[in-house]
Amino acid sequence: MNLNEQEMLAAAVDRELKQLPELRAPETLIARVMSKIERCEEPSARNISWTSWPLRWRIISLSVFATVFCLAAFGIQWLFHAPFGTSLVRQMAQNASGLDVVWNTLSVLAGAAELALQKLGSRFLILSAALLITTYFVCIGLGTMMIQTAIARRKTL
Amino acid sequence: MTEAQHFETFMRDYQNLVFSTAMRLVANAAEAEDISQEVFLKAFAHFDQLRNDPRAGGWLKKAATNLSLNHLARYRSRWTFFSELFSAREDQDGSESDIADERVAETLEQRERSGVVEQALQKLPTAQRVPLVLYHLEGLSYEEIAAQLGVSLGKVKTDIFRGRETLRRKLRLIPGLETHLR
Repeated sequence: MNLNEQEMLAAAVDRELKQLPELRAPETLIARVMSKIERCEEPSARNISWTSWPLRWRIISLSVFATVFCLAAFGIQWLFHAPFGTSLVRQMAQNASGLDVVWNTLSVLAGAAELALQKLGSRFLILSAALLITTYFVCIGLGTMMIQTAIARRKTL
Repeated sequence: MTEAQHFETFMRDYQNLVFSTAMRLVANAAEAEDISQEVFLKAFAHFDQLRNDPRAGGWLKKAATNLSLNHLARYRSRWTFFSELFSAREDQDGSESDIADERVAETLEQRERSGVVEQALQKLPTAQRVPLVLYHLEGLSYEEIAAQLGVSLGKVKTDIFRGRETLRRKLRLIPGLETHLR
């Protein structure tokens, strides 16, 4: 096919395609879009700020919050002064002493690690650091190479 | 009239345009509907600017084109493989395609021409249909198509040429063309 024939074919295809009428969209399209919009427009309670709540809800929520706050404040005061409360506080303090065991174990482990590092010497530390840095850069390099290969492959497709 | 009602009217005016644009690129009604939905949701977000803008149609067409191309790019490796597999088979099986062309030519007489052209277009391999639609219907240049699809200029030209050739074979009754080409 020569150049002239190619141009004629291009013109004919262009004419054919441009004459095509618009296709009819499915009947369901508008309903689908509108229902999606309605769902998005319905703001959830979490997304409305307290100041935008209806007045009745603001009064109720404020009353509930004030009541809970007062109860909590009086409750804590009562806990520390009542005989039952003092024994409860004492018991809680005793339970917390169990954490000492965990702390002691961690201290022993840290001491052992320190001792091991002293025995191995600074050369070991330097070598480990160098190995870590090299591994990091190798990973970065390989990752970059793989991404570049993937992009190049995508361009050729 | 509420905002939603205004938007519904706006959608009625443009739904065929958006759907056609998506359908001619992806050649799948369900996927084209999904893309159209996405286009209109984007349009709703910009409805304040679009509602009285005479260029709204252009904006929607561009959005539909971009979303369709994104959709195709997501499945590119899959469609390239299949489209090239089928086009290779089509090239090898000349006699088979001639018989198929005869059948299409027969139906051409029975059915409306636009329907047959539409069908032929949708049956093109994606690798040929997409650049062809972008060139002839969206008015993009070869360079723009190459940039948009992330392929070489040569590939775009070859695919468009192949697409036209396939259409020429399938639509034998292109007026004035047969006499010049044969």
